[in-house]
Amino acid sequence: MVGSAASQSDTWRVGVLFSRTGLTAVTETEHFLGTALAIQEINQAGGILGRELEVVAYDPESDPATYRRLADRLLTDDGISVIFGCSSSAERKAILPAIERRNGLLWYPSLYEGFEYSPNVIYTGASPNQTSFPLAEYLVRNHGRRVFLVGSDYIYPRESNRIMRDLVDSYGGKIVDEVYAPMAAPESHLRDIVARVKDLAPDVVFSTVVGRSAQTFYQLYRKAGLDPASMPIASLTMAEGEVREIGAALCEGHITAATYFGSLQGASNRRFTDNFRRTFGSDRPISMWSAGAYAQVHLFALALERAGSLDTQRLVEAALGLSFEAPEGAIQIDPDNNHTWLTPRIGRVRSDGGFDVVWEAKAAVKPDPYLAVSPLGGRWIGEEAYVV
Amino acid sequence: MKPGIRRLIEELRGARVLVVHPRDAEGDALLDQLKRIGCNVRGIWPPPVELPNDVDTVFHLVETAETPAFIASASEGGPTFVAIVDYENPTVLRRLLDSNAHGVINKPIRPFGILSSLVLARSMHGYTRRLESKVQKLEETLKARRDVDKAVKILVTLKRVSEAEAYELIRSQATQKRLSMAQVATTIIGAQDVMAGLGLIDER
Repeated sequence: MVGSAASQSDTWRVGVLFSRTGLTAVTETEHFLGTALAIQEINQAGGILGRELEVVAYDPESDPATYRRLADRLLTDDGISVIFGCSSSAERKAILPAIERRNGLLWYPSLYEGFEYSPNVIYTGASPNQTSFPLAEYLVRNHGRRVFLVGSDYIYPRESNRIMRDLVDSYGGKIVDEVYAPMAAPESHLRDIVARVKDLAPDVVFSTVVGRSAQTFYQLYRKAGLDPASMPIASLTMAEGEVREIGAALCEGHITAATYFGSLQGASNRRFTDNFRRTFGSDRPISMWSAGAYAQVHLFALALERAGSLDTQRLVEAALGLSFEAPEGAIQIDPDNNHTWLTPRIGRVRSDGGFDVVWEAKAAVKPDPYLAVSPLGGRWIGEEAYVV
Repeated sequence: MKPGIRRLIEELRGARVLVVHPRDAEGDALLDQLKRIGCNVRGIWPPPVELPNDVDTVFHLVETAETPAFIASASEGGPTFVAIVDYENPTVLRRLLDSNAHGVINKPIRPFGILSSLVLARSMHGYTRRLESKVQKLEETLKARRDVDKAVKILVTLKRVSEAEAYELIRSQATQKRLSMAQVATTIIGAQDVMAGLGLIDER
């Protein structure tokens, strides 16, 4: 641990960087709450090796530059090496140089577009082979061949759409158009995109629009008379929290591929949702954003218990191969690539804002961030498994 | 120059990579990252006398000590060559240039950047190879063209025909004998040389 003073030696100090304000405040607040819940559980159970977790948290305001500045502050002024943080790839990329230079350890809970490995990061969100791959097959087989791609203009949508294009192609589908909107897109811009969708009348829209723009896009979509039942929007990020912001009635029928939905029936999820509601109130949405952030803190705690030290090298060694009964089911940190084994699922929004799981993999799938072993056009969706 | 990125990435899956680097933490970091990317990779140290012929890409440490020049250097038809350097002094830079490397990575080795270097080096290698074969073809064409011109001039003098007629003669000979015009032209030039040497015809 960097610069730990004697007065702090009775706690484990960790940093938390999730935005409570700005464009992605909704999802990042859920990351924050999931993290907070896990830390509370761990401390209430007596901490790790008899010492509690002590948190230093800042609000990076959904801004990569602010992320960079606050990560530097955590790593230097605060003398902290373990950080739970970042939602978007732009945010992660912004703080990576600082993390690597100071040999910190970032626990990154969000899905992303892959093609990255840093020895200073544990990636607990989904890789494209755990989301886009089954989604593409599901969409082409169940909704049709003509797919419209829309995204916010940064790296995650660009790369996710590139992958989706290859996948759709491999299942015999066709991309009818690919368009991008700025991060904080004006409503008029999104309105134009919705008009374009209406003109082209695809079978399905794959959207990697994120943040507030995504919420506006879904609202405009419904208001333009486009019907999710016949022409759904499919996404990797649209979860329960944003559905609530948009209005569940406007979202019913849209599709999300993720490894967690609040509606999962397993015992570990019941435990998680019960604790979550008890702590934060019963009307807060529960989604992949909070569940993933929650699970990774528990993985960290297991690793710390093994390592007995916040030293990055020792923590990572202890973390590799660790498994945990997470809200989504059993998950495991892959020892080869620092990413996480997760169970792919596809959900459809219900009228109450929750998701019906319409397909799920039989078990956790190995993360393949470089798509080194995931063939395009592979079979995911068994004939029998249309509805779980 | 720019094949689709999808093809480049797919080609990496079958890439057979040799890492010539001491078996230490950095060597392991490089091997592990190449495996993550999806390459078939193996390491070797010290540098072998000869490169195995079943590799298409080599990462090779450029040493600073006075060791023999490394065995792998970019050569025609050879593998893609990525140099690994830990100094940037003129001695190392000289060796880097001598190696004709298609790409370079620096020590300390970090996972970031290896994929980019690999993709760029393989692309440059392919591009260089295509350019080389194009240059070779152009050179052959140019030489053929010069020989035909020369043969035309010989025929014009010997047979007192026009250039167009001489050209036509060479062409029909080539067709009859199933040879290229360049081959017929070379024969004419050679024959003229011998005949002149024997004094059977005037030199020029």
